[in-house]
Amino acid sequence: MRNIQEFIRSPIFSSSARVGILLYLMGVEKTSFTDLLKGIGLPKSSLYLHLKVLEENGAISMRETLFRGRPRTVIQITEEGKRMVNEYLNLLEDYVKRGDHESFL
Amino acid sequence: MEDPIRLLKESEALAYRLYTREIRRRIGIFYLLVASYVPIVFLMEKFFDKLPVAHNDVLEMLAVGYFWFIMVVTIGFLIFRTARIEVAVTRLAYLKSFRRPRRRGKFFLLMVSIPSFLGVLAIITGIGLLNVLANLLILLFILKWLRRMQRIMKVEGRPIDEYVAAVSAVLGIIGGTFIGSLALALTAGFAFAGLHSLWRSWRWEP
Repeated sequence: MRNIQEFIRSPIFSSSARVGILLYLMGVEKTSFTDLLKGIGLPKSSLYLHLKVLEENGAISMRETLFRGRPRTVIQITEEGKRMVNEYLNLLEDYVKRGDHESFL
Repeated sequence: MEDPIRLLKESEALAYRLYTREIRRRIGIFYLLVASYVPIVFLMEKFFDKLPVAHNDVLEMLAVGYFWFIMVVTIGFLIFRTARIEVAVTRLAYLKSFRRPRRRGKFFLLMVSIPSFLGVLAIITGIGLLNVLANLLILLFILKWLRRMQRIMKVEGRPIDEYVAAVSAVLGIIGGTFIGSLALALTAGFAFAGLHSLWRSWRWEP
């Protein structure tokens, strides 16, 4: 099993924005690019790059749909993405339990 | 070496910001659904008044049915979908405190069983007030649940919309039973809370 340090050096978990997006998608399953852009406070190009990394690593899927006659990009977490987030949280739990958790309070 | 906790804290802040808006939007939809109750029943009444047959029982059944439809839609589509957010949020909260969050099974059981019991009792005894009480309780339980979600996510600021909704629920449902026009308080309060919630969600306010 990988340790947390290895995990946070991986393309997905090395960025707080990407982890934040995944944590959000864990709760809502899917969202639109526009909604995400409004809330995340990042430039469009940066958000797109973050999403591309997540998609290339199989954590999310992006698809174009039509909504009220306009194109809309729907972003959805994949089963693999959910598994990765759960593994990440499990590793973090172990890491915090080992005695470093005061820094989180 | 990168600090995993610092990274998680930044990610969590971002996820909470996005969650808060989502929950506010769902709360807004719920409030507007409740606000529609009195106008819909009023329209039903107007429609049935035109019919040349006695219709009080049918109207009452439809009104009760519509109220439960709102609750089923709310619980089915809004709360259960929001429950996924709760799972993610409580998992993050556990990482901070190492206290298992309280399970909401008992709360849900209470939320469904008490009003259902009162509803059945109302049918058996014919005491309409029990049904009114059942409606009020289920509404207040839902409000409490939504407020709990906001507390878990440490949403700051006064929950004005929730206060307005709670007061108008009591005033509209209980008061409206004795003085018909007070039922409008339910519509006015929930319409305000719903529109204000959607406005806040649109403006990305918690």
